[in-house]
Amino acid sequence: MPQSMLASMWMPSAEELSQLAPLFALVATIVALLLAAMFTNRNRNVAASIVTLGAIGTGLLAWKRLQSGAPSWAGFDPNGMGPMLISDTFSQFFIVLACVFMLVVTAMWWLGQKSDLPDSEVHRMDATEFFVLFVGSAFGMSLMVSTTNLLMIILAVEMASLPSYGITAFRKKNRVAAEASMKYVLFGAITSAIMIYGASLLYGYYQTLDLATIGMKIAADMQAGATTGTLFLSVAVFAFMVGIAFKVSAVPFHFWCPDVFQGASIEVTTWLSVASKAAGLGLMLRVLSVIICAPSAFPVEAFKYVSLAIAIMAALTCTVGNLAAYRQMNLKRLLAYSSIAHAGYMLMAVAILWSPTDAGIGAAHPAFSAIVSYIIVYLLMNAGAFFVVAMVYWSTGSESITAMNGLIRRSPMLAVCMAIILFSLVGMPPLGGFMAKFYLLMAVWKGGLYWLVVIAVLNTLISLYYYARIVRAMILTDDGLPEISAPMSGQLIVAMCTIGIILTGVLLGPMKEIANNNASNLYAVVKSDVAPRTASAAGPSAATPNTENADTAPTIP
Amino acid sequence: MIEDAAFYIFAGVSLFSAIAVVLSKNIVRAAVGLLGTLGGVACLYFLADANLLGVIQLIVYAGGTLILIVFGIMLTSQSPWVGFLPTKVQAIAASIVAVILTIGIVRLVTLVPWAQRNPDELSQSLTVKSIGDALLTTYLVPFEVASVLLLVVMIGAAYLARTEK
Repeated sequence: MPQSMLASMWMPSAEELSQLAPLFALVATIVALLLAAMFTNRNRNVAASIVTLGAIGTGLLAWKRLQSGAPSWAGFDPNGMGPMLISDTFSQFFIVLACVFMLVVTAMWWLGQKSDLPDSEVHRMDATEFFVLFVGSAFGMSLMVSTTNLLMIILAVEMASLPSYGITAFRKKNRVAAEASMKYVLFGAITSAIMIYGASLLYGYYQTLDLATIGMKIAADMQAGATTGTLFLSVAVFAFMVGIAFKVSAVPFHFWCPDVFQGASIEVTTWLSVASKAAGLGLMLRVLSVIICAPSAFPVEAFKYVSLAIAIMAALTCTVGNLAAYRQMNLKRLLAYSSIAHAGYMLMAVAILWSPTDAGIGAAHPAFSAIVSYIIVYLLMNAGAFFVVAMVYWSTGSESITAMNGLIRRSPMLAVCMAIILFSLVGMPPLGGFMAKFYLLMAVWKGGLYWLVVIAVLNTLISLYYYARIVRAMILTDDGLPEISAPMSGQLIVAMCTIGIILTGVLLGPMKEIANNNASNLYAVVKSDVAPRTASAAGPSAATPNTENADTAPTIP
Repeated sequence: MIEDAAFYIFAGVSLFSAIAVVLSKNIVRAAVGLLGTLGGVACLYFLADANLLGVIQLIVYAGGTLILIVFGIMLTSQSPWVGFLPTKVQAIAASIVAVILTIGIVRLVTLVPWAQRNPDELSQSLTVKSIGDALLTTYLVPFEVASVLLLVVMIGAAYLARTEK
């Protein structure tokens, strides 16, 4: 009861708080940044150091929780409403990835300082604001993968989006950046509105914010033979998915992506290209796993339509991304379209989540491990590719594809690494990009969406052309540009990404195993943890909808 | 009976002001129309016993946001009576989308057997006290996350609005 709880100053238990240590560490980083700015007169190196330390600390905390494989929920829910936040291996795994990527982006920021380009001036001056927004969006993305609560999902998506709008417009005197940010804001606002409308439909009908409970109620409805739900559920779930599709930049919610990638500074582009998409896909998996897998014993017609919509969206995303990349001359814009295409490949696996597998409900769906391992390889490829583009940009001041001309002479090391990365992006064996795509398409094939596999293979052929164009510029065209003075540490990061790509190509089997282990937890939330918890904790407060009265879902008293 | 009449009056006010917002060719008039919409919705909240929500709607939207919009118009447009006309194609496309959306939403809302709640219990759970309790217990996490969100966004806004030296 709320009154007695307030009387004794209700506090979440220390154990529950400790489960959220990585999230607290991110917030602490934001606070530390602001305080440090006050005491060190906005010293930019201090700010960058704090972010580096914060990312390492958060990563280690998340890693520790990942290793322990401890209980998979952490909800602050005195009324037994189902967890607000979930801290399982799936979310911790994504937080570790985000922290690694934060380090890459911070390294890029640090190295970019040394170049004498006009826009690096801005970053030099206002490092504190930049990093507060940057860590803020990282915090939002970490929340996105750690919740199944409608309210928290909306807050998490906003937390990830709003700071991203800010860092996109960070170069204030740059017209392209301002326009990009404006487009980003407008698109984000509209898709958020549609998403919140979908969430309100779900909440209004099922009277609970917890998606796992909603999943169980859907299952109970199906068992009871309800038929009115199909149109309603298709619209509500799909509308809810729109906000997430925006983060993944799926067609037709992709229009912001090329402009933002071109307008934002290269650190921001790198960050958004991977982190925003990975978080969106993580959230999508989370949402679909809890609402689809609970009722999967009873085929829900509505989810067939939602899956079909996602499959069509995936096919469009791939094709539009690859076709539009054709005529791009700006490297960042080209990589933006390439990232749209890759989001399309990953969405293909999301579309098969609906179809039941031979392994039954208990085992992890092959789509999970396929997507998770794709994200790992994709992170390596994009980090490497953008780092090469960044280093070329720092020494030439140009982001055009012609800036790459003759790179094999100007910096043999970068050219070789970039060629490997690009071929991996195409999906050439034996590189990581090939293996990841192969597993992914195999999962889609087994899921029965043969036409989607055909589209993906055709798209791979199309994509070969524009990736090869960069390779051609690097190796065959040489117009005597001066040599590139790439910083050693930057070259080291690119080399590490390249080695990672080659290794994942050879060792994807074990990596898939890891991905599988981390994703299998998604089901645990539905299957074992939430149900007994809501049932036991709801005890005295009968007003709370719980699993027991789930079978009377349509007419809750 | 009187509640029904009040509902239709306030719903009508917000609906017609919304149409005025869309059709008005003058941006300031559109802003005034928005006042009617937001105020009407606030009255609907009061009718539904959601007093706190109604007050928040009046203070934050009808009060704060609207004034911000009017100030924004005053400070940014060359002339205060600047008009903005959509092209014919835009208007037609927008009306088609609007009609389809309206039909879809109306169908959806009428089709679904929405859960009915006991009004007494409901008004009990809508008092300011119970909302405050809920914010600091059940919804503590969203509450805290929202505060972090506001902090970060405020810093971003302050940075973007600051004039360069």
